Amino acid sequence: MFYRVGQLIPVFAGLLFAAGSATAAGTGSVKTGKLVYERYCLSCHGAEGNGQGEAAEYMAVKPRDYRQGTYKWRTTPSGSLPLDSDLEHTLLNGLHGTYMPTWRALDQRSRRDVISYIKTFSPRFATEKPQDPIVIPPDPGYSDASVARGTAVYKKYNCSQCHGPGGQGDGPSAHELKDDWGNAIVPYDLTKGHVKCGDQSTDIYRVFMTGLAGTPMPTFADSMSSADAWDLVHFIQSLSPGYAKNMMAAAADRKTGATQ
Amino acid sequence: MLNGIGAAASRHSVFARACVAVVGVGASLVTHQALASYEVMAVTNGGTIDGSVTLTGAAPGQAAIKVSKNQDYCGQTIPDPAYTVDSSGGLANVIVYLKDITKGKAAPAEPLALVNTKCMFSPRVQGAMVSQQVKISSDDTVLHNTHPQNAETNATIFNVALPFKGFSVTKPLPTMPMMIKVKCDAHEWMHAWIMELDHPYYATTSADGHFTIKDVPPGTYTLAVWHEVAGEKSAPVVVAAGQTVKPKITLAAK
Amino acid sequence: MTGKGSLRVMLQVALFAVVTFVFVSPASAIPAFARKYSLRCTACHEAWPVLNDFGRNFRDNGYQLRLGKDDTVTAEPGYWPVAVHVLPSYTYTKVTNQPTDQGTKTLGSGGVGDASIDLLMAGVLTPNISFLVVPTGFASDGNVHLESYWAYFSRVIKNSDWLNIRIGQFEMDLPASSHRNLEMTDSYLLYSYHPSVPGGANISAYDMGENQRGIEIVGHDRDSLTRYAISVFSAHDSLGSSNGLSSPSFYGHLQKYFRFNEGPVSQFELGVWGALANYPTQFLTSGGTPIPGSGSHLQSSTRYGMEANLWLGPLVAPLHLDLVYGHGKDKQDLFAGTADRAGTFNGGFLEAIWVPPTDLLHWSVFGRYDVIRNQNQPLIAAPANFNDQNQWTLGMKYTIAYSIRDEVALHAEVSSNKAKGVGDGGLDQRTDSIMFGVDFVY
Repeated sequence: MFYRVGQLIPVFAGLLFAAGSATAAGTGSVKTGKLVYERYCLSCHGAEGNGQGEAAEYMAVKPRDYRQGTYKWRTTPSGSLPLDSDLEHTLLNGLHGTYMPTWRALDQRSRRDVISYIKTFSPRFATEKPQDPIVIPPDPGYSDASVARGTAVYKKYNCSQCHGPGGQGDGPSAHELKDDWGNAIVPYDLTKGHVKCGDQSTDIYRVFMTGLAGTPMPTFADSMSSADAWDLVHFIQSLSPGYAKNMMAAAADRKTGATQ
Repeated sequence: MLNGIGAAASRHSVFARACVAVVGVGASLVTHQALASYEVMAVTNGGTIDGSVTLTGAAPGQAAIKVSKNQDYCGQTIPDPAYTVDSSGGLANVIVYLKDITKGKAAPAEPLALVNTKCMFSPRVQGAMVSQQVKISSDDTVLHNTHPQNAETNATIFNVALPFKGFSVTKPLPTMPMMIKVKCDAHEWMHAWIMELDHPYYATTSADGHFTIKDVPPGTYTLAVWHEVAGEKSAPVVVAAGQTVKPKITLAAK
Repeated sequence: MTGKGSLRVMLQVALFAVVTFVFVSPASAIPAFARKYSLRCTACHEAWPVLNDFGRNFRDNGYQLRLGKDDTVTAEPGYWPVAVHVLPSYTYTKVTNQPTDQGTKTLGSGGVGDASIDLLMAGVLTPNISFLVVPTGFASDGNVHLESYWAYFSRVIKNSDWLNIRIGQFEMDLPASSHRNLEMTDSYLLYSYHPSVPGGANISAYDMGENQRGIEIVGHDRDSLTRYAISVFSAHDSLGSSNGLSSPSFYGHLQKYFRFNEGPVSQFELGVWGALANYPTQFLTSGGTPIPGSGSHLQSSTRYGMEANLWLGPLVAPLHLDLVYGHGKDKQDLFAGTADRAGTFNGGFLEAIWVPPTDLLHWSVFGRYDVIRNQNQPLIAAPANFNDQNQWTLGMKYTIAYSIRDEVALHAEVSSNKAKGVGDGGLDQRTDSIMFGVDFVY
């Protein structure tokens, strides 16, 4: 009897650690990541990663379909796969205005593991490498002069085509827009004071330069100078009292986790 | 009690196997695509395919595209270019290409051109080689965005803004062969197609339905045509060394 | 033993059964939240109903994910913050060395219990004010009582998680929750044990696992990896006392979690806790019954100790070990004049929960070993090991289905308790239980 129990110990230990054994430094375990996915993500994103989990039909903003490798929150140029750190950023911060919450309470290992698993839904991750992230120069600072210049930038780049003359998301092309999945999508109302992909000035800057993959929002990286982009950021911040108007305030706000 | 657990567990494992099977199919597709590689070689005695595509039957009446925004710039209507047919039935904007060709001439060195002009894309359709560069430009004062997607999955390839007249940008196409549908989200009627192939043996018919594919290594191939509305068709073609073969292809109007 | 004595023992057994029943019924898992946030039960529960890190943080934040979907305004109009939890089960219990008119006997009884229902109502009233109300009962006796009811004010200091206030009747912030544990056939001995005089009484009925009425102050870091909780309450079963001012009791808990990015240990936790429950021992009476609010001469039951939790393997499917040690003391006067001195004891438990890394995490296997060792018997003449207890529990749970709407699981469990000298004629008494149940919640 004792002998048999002794035999079971390595079997038990094997079962226990099998899931974690594939973890190498820096990258996650796909095998454990599948369990993390099933525990936390499956109900919305679906067993096949197609964004059609059991809860998806009740959601106005649909969960991401992972099969195409397109992600809105990226530091990489339009068309590129995201970096792992981009995906982790979304796990840490969630997506405001959607059902995607922050997963900060999870341990970093679980986050790494689930990122490795999510990447298996798109064959692109096996054949392509993400491009280098865009460079975001320091915010020169919010000022009335910058806002005034940004007003001209908003006109020059025809942002009003979709976002409307007052930034309320009511431009001539605002209607009938569709995302990659054929779902209706509207341009963001820039006066609402919160950006889905983050509310710091760098978050707004990044959206211009990377575009929002899978949506009509294109990249302006090839046409807009960084000086113009910062002025435009400040103009957009001027549209809403809800935007943190300078980097320091935004950073302090984030530290305490105030994202409501 | 124990039976209950057993039954539930076996149902569960069937489900698990189904999941694994789905993943397996996905993986094999990738492998297949990765294996299909094209080999460049010198073609000294190649043949030429010099043919034409005609539309049989009358092209269906096409209502002009009603412009819904920026009418002051784009105009009230734009002629629908889906069927561009000349007086003798020659059909433009058809992509003609070879299938099953694994080696031959080098890839084109020049980037493709895709111009946003008068609130339309030009050209309407064209072929491309995988990873080829495409130079996108705008002649218009209104904002356009050029947003190529995988035509099958709708997956965004990239999405670049052309905010003002005279702006141009050069971007690479995907590394995998696919049919690409290009849209401009700001002007929902604007579309273009790029057929991306893993070899350079393709051509687009001109206004009179004529096309030419040069430097084809001698052999028997499948010649295929694609039109955005009339659809696809293919037929065998035999190319002899130094000779020109002149296939006449017809597509039925749909 | 006399007939009167046997009646008393019978009453004790009946009381034990009632206590067991109470422990069987209230376990919290709230599919209303799953519906609201479109998450499966597994998102918040390591093995339902035991909370995981995400669930603990969610609860600490006042049932908020803090992303705009918490507001009653932005929630789906169809969302209704009510869930139902029922556990019909078959339980067979055998108790040795029981006194009968025909001599000392081993008695066993089994049957499908008269299941009760928990109605779990919980949600966010307005940003940073949440609530929980749990009516329990609805069994054939017709009784319903409020097991729990509280309002929780989170972030009392703007943007700080370090001050949150709970008011009402709530469970203490224990090293292991006795309302969200997997075991159903027994209770945590450390929480409920009292030193006793053989055949005598103890005025203190303090049970750390029972919900208490009062105020709790909770603070935590953003991810709930460092936490404290302090409660001031009036033990609601104290005689002759009507409010917390006349018999204030206190509970405190401080804990810290450590995480490891490499190696077999993924998380480790250390905590200290302590309780001081005061009971009046002298009262004015009316017709022999203590008059509420008239109690005086407060005497304390104190409990304090520490805990360590260890998660082996990935946190998503861990082997979770929880070791809790505690020391307890009941003052002499709590024994209503029958004791020679204060009673003291040491106790604790080692609990293990294993979630096998199988697809969809359907299984959980769990076990616990509880120990009570008396240090000073309140009656010096009593055997030193009187009512020392050893108890083990083993069980497993198979979840047939989880969804964002409901969960249904099969539950099987065995447990055994051995108590020194409490049986007929001072013999040891052993209680064995086996249980099968279907646990479902909607």
